[in-house]
Amino acid sequence: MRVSNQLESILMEVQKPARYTGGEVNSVIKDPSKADIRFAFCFPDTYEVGMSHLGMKILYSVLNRMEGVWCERVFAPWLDMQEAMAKQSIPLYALESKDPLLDFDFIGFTLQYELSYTNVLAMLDLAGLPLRAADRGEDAPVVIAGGPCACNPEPLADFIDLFSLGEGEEALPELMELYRACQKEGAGKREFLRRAAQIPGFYVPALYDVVYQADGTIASVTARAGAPAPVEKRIIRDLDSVYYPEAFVVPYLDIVHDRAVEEIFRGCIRGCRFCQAGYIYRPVREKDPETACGQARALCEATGYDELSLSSLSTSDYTRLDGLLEGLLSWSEPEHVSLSLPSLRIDNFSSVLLEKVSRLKKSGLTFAPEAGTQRLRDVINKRLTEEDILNTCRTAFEGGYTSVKLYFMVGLPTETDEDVVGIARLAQTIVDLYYSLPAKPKGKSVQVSISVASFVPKPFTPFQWFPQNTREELRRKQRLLLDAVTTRKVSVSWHDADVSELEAVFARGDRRLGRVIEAAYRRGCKFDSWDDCLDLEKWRAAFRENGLSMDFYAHRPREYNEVLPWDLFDYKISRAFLQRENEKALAGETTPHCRESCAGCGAAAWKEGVCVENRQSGVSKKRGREVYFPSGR
Amino acid sequence: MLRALQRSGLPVWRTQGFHPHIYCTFAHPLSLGYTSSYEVMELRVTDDGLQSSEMLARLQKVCNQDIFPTAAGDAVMKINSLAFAGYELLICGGANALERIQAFFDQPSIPLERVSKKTGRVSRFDLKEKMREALAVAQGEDARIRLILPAGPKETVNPGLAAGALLRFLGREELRVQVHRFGLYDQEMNLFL
Ligand code: SF4
Repeated sequence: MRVSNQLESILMEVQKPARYTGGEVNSVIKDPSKADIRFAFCFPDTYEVGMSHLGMKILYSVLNRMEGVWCERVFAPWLDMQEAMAKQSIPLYALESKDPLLDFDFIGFTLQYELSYTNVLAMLDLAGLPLRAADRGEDAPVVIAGGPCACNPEPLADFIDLFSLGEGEEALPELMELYRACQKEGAGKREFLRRAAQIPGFYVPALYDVVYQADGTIASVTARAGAPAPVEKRIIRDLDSVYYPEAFVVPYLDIVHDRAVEEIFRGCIRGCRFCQAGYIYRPVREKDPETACGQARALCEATGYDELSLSSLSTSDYTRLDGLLEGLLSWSEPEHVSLSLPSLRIDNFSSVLLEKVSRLKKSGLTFAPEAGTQRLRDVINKRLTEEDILNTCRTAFEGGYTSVKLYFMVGLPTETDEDVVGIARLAQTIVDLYYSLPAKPKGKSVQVSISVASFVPKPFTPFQWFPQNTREELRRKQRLLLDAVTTRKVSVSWHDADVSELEAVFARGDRRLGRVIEAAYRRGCKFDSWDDCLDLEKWRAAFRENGLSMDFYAHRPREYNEVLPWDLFDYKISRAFLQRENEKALAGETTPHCRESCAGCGAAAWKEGVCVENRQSGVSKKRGREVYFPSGR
Repeated sequence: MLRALQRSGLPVWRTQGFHPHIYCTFAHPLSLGYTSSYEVMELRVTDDGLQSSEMLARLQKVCNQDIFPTAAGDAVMKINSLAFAGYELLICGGANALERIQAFFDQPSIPLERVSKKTGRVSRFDLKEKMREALAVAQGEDARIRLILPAGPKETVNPGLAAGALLRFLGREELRVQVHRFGLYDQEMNLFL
């Protein structure tokens, strides 16, 4: 029986059936007889989460633009649907064609967070495939994975045939062409993978042998069959000429981010030392305002979205924000499209624009000081001063704002109790500031919300060698902070310490963790990033069963000379630079951002973006364009 | 639908205020899992000269086959004059129980319970008093029942309740029921326009 017929009988039994039906506007339907390559793009979380993800929308369009390639979407069915599918023996299927995943040439996963790994296994299992790559035959689909977590893909090395490192818009079409050539020649999967490993940006884990020392650290990694070492990531050199989707699939149900999104640049100039995104997406490359403006307009027209959000790691650092906003507002206002500007520092641009933007969409006022004292902010290279925060709050309060949200981390390297208490003190200073202002909103009280995450050391950051605080230590710090908050005007929320611990384990994990992930999955672990699904006891049992410990991965300091599982991957961030930054952190010294001076991270090897901007004249050497420097820092 | 209206670029009226949005109302939105022959949507345009035919054509251009506009015209009735809806219940594999089905509907009273979505309170009512018509015929192996039930701002009876009670009466709760709405009517059973 076809999956679509079987589905009818179970859709009424599950929550939110529209997650499983497809048929949305702008979803791509092709004639299967004319598609010689079928690609199932899997997001290992729910429809609502996956459909909000920009990378998936981009690659979906990039692949579907190719003649003969049909890319479809697959999301992890929620637990009720998994149960219903199992009962009726319905295999995991793609939303567009409803064809089972086994019929596809490629099954591609995007790895956005470590806690989705068991869902990757669950999806392979629901598809009816053996979990381990070695157990899948020549005829089984090629299983590929990419996304930020692929910068250390080792924990999933046993399950995935091929990883895509870095940005995939150009690399994936090259891979499709190789596959087509192999099909024509009659070369099998093994040969395809051997050749794929020769394309920059692709890593075939089966072609590398890892040897461990007695203490569990890595002794050596050896490449076989001519596979390259190190394996380089890919970047898009020119964001203006690379394809950007003209249309997004428009969902029938509410998703997490349900709006048009225009990406304005990649990378980040700042160099906050805890932030992986700030390093792995280097160098900063911007899109021209005209390109961004045109793409955004086309997208709104094709989707009917009346909200447009700009996407980047830090909107304020876009060098031509004034021009971009002016261009966008020229059509968005008459067409009733509202703009939302996340990650925006409002101290940076003209008051006329500020007024225009806030008239359209009054979003909350948020800051990410990350640490409660200047000393610790220097350690993490978060060069935001208390004065900056208070000045912006003053302007915002005087302009009618009454609430502020602040993001912090605890467990940062060198953190003391004083730093933790400093978080409460900063919040109190903002409350006091509000009440000291004669021009504050009349008759309203202020609300300062503090959101606290636990620090997770990540690969390719200067903090990659540091241990994570133990859960006990994190809980003690939570209590310390809560005790230090003495007013109802300040509210505190926490990220779960259990989640952070597992994240820390897998972020810096090695291949041996594959056994643990599989054991945890067999014990029923799924949707681990969902608080009500995470079962740390099952995970502990999975570690014990395999003779491994979470402490080894999460709470152990690494020596500078230790071979790290991700040393095999060349993200053009040199180890020497990371070590230098680590030492500067310990000395409490900050590093200027890329537009002030180059810190020599290694990304200049790409000869692109911010690395080739002329810092004195503000003119990009490469394309000779004007570069506007934001004022203030 | 709001996205389709935005894509169409039609001069639709928007609510005023801080976040203006397109004004558009569905006459009695369909419950999840049911199908219908058509849906009625009311909206306002700011250009009086706009012809219904042009409006329809522009909307059709931006819609996909799953939600496709079939007709447009000036509103004749007010949405709050809606009173009844006509449903077809297809009881899959129920043809052999046709007599029992008719017997269910021929009972002098059919007491049912419903739970308020808002308050969670349970109330009792007699389906017999509420329904207008119930006719069962066999269609292959299935039974097809036409049923007219209250559907409007004053009162609504979900056909699922009737279907559930019927299956319990038959002792055949394993049977699958498909619900299709074929029409919307006012108090006098005039087709809603
Ligand atoms: S090479 Fe210099 S300018 Fe380029 S990303 Fe690294 S630090 Fe920034």
